[in-house]
Amino acid sequence: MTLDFQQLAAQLDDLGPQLRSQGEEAGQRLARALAEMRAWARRPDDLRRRLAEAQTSWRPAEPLSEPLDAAIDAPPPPGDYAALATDGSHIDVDRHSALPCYLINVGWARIRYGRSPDAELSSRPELTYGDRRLVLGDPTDASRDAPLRGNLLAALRSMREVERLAELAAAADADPAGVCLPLLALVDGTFLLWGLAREEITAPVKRYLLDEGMIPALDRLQALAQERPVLPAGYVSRPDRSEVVHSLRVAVCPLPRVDCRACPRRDDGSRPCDDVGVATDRQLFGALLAPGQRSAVFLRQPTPGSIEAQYYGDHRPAAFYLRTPPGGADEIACVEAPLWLARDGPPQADVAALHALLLDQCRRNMGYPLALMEAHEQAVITGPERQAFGRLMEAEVAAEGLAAGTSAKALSKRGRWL
Amino acid sequence: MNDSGRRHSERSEESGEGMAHAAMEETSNEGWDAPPQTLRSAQGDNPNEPLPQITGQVVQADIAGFTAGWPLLQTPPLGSLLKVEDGGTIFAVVCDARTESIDGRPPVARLSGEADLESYLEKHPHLRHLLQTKCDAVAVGHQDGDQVRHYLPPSPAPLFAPVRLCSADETARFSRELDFLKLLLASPTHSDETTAACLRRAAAAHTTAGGGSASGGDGRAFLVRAGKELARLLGTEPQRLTSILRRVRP
Repeated sequence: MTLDFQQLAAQLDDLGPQLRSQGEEAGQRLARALAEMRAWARRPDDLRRRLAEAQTSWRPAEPLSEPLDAAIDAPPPPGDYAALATDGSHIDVDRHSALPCYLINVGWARIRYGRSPDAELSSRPELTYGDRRLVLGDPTDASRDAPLRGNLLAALRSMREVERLAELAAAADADPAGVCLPLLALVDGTFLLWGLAREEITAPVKRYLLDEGMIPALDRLQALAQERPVLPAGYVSRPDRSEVVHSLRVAVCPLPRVDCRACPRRDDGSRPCDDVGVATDRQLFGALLAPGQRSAVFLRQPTPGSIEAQYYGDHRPAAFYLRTPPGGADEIACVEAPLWLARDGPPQADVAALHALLLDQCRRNMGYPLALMEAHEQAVITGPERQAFGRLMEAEVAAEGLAAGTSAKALSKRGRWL
Repeated sequence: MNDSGRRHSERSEESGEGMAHAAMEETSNEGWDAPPQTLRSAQGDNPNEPLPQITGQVVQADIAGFTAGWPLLQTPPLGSLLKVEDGGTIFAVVCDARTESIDGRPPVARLSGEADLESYLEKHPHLRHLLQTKCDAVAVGHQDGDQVRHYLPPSPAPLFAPVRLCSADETARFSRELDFLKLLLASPTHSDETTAACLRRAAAAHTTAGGGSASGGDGRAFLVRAGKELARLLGTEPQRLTSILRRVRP
């Protein structure tokens, strides 16, 4: 045991008083934020103008069409529908292992409710090895080849999840009576490949993962949705975002045109907008929404040149917050839907259907969408499975008569040599 | 318990074998047991019922027995004789059964008020993919050429080998000799209940094989023989003997 708990315990002495003090301040900020939210909900045009003019490094969000402080109930869910979800996990390239390779495991759950209940729970592993397949090459500059590991591999995995979602949604048959059921199509998290936002990611990498992967998959979902009721969405449990809080900060700034570089700080160093500076949107909507209700649909303003602005177009995610229904864990979740879904059709009909189906899924699984949970269970690679995978790779390499090539560091970790 | 039963109980304290014989004399096949309390039995305790065409599959095995997977919620009854045929033939008696989560996540009761399990599964169709039914069986013999041996097989049942319930005829043939009782009594799980259930089923099978006479026919004779064998094997454990004999009485 190397963690010294005695030293750690000494550092916890101040924890209680600090948390209490923070709680009081946060309560005051939350009350002010809610009051401002209600006031600005009556001035949507002023808010839109201020957000459009603001010079901030934040990414504020504004309501697509509903009031800023909307708290909306869901219609009753249909008795017959299908829920589809994909999720993934991966084993990253390990330079200490016998065979450099990565494994992506995409799991899915497809469950049909109603008159002809049915379910499919499954997964598909994809192993990749070989030096040339472990990098995304730059045809013009070998020094800019990008190794497929870490964030890039995570982005590739997200792309595979959405590709599989589109495949399964396309293959979803009508029920035995020939009726196309509403199909909820979920991924865990977001459609946005945030990992590609970093500067060092090269254009060929973005092209491969976005133009040739994620975006065509989203195109397929959009085309399907024009033929039948397909509702794709990303579900974020306990989100840490604060775009709506950022919008409130912009709204209450005393400057006529917000510019954070000219912030009129107070003598104590605080900013005027800190008065509504609730830590996350989650706290704001936790106070605003009753169980089962959703917020207005918000759209983030993308930074010019961001991958969202450059690549996603009509697939840009719009989002609403959802308070889980009674009977399970009470939490605020964030639901992302492509802009075309959030905006199209009769006023918010698809969003209402999405809301209703998500509530039904949450009710079935103590507050978290059941299909997503089961997809996760299909995708997850456990610790023992990871070890077994490592041993299998070593055995395969040895069976080919090749040197195992395990690193000295990896070997030394397997035992204490006396 | 009627007067006659009480008399037998009193007498049983004097001699294990005497008790066994007396208990068996009272036995008849009428009103044989209700099916064991499995979630849903593949078959009741009466082997005269037609055999359903379900089979299990060995998922874990050692010399002393095996665990077999079965279609969801369809367990063979406690004490029934199973047969594994994959190269050789192994006989085993069901000593336990359960339905459990396939991935280790414990099922949590939601008390949602569905009238029965079938309608619950209709409302939650994914559950059929996440639950599994298994039974444990203790090996009681094997086929050695033309001979049925009532001792442990030379090797475990092969993994994934098919398992099926023995018919009444097969059960009667297997239990003509009673040497297998020693293995049943040594079973680590529910040994006395398993032994009693096995004897009830075997007695019914002997009655069927003997033409099914109203008086119990061969079944009663079988139980008398089995009681004597139990008394011999459990001579030093009269309480255990009493417990088993009470369970094979109607």
